[in-house]
Amino acid sequence: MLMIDARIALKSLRATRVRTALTILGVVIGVASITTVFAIGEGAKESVRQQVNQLGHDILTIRSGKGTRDSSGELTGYNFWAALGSSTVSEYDLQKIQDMKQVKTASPIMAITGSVRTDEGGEPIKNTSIIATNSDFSKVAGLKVHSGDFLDPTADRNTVVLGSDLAVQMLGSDTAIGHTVWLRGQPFTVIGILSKYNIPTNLSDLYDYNRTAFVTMEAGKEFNQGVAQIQQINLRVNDQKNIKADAAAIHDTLLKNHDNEEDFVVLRPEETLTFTNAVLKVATQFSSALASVSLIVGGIGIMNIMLVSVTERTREIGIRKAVGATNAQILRQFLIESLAMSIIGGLLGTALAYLGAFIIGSFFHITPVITWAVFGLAMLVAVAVGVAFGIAPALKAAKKDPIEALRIVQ
Amino acid sequence: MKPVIEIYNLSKMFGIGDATTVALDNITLRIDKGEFVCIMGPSGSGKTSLLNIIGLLDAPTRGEYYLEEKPVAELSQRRRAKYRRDRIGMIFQNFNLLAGANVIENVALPLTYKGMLHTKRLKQASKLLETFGLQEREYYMPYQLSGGQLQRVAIARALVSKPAILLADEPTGSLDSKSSEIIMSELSEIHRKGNTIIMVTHNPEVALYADRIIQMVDGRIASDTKEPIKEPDPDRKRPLNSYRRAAEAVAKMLERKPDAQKPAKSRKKGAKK
Repeated sequence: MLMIDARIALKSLRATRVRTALTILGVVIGVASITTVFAIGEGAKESVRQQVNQLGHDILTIRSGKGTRDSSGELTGYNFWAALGSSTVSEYDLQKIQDMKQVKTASPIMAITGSVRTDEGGEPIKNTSIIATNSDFSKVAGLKVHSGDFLDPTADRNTVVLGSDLAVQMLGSDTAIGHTVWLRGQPFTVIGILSKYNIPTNLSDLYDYNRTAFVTMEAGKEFNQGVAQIQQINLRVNDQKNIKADAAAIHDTLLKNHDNEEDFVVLRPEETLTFTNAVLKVATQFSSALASVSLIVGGIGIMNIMLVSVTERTREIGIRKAVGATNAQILRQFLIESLAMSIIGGLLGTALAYLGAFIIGSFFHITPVITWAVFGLAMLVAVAVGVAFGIAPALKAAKKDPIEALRIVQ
Repeated sequence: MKPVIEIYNLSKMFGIGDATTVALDNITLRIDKGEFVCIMGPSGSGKTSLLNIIGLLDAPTRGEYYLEEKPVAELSQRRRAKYRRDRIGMIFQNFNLLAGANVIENVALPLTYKGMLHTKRLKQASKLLETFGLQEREYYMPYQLSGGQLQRVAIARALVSKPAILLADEPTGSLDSKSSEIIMSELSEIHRKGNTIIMVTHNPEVALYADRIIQMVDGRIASDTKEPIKEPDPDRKRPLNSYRRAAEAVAKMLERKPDAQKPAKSRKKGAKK
């Protein structure tokens, strides 16, 4: 019986192709926008997860800003706005940490604002960053050197290591060691060029390592009037199994340095993930709330067109009832029409979302993830929209008095 | 002959208060199986209202209606729809075909609501269309047919579920005389096969095909070529209104009370006294 009703419904939809297509388009846009948001959100979460996996589970990050922990040592809050102010993490902290026996290697990140030029008087290269750090950074951050060497303790102060993309743009090659480039108007000799860094996000989030010039801390300090301004310290511990205890020990050491003023936080790998995920979650929820508005509009489109359809087809309803259609059969016919539109819209919307998410994702180096759960949710929402916005017109159709309906002149 | 339709003191009013129009005024009528009845009368005499009530498309304001000896007032909407589908075929003056469906789909429409499979119902419709000489027009759309052909399609649709009763509302009303003749001979043929036909018409020539003519004026039966029945059979089971039903139920309970308490023998004795 349902098949017969479905056949009648689809035939009616085919009879008004343009109108049906436009109504479906409304649902497509709604479902597509919601699914895109979810796909990008899931993709971002996944890439953060991958990043932690790739960077390793033995990494600790120290940033300024107070973190609060519960009795079991789990992070419950972090005032990350503090990280935007002047940093509380110092070179002395770094030195103390390096001296600890649990710490295998540690390195700072000091971001420097300034121009990068190929020639002394040339145009500054766009979208670049300068990071001052120590020789261990390549080990801590998992960077690989393509040609030459990374910064080393004996290196001359005015040496630089370039990210892969930056080297190619400035020097036309990723093997051009020995050239001179100009950072903040100072000449620096290129001693190393990195391999392409393929992890979309990294320890310091804000910087694209492929477009970064790495200099020594001495050079960095000179750029900053002799003061080290360390945004964060990354370190690897010897034994990742004890990382929680190690983090606590490092925290205690730093607390002594900071006169018991807790103006820093030691973050474990999964905790950096927690924060990114929390931010992503809020972003996803906010965007999906906005996107769901378009789905509601799509649903209203269905309702609108179904109401018009019921009015237009009053006589048809009368005829169908006169030859024996029950109220339930008429209800089913119209409900299936709205459901068919919403389900087709849902399927097309998901397909479009996948395409859209790939295009958007390619700008942010995120591979969108459409899980079965996201697909299922999208279809569920589409069906819910079909029923919610289709039931009123279908009831209106089913309740039509046959004799009144047959009197309508069309 | 078995009665197919029995109507007692049936009235139909439209509107409320001062604006009430009486369409049918206290009509009593019985139509037996196999009759070909023609209902005539001027416009507004209530012919179509009566036909719509008989066809279960409309409900009376007052009175009783038994269809194949079942009280219609007790039928649910769903049962009424099933009666329309299985037992009654309707033919309208303006054909009432679905404009978006072709001839064969229109004819098969009642079978759709029976849940019959697509191919099976098209086969059945096709067979019927053949008897009406419309087999070559099966896949034509309604707008491609003449009035006479459309009415034959409509008759085929009315007959496709093999109904016992055929109701025709001015079936020749929008046809020329030649097409009218064809339609009427088709209806006569159907009547000869044993169907009950009730037809509403203005046209005295068309009325000649019927074997019983009822004249209506102002919502009443003015004349009937068959002796009209006066009162319902007092023995038959009639639908009761809820008050009477409740009263009777209470009476029954009171009657039964001693039955439950006393043994059967003593009750018999008591009865003899």
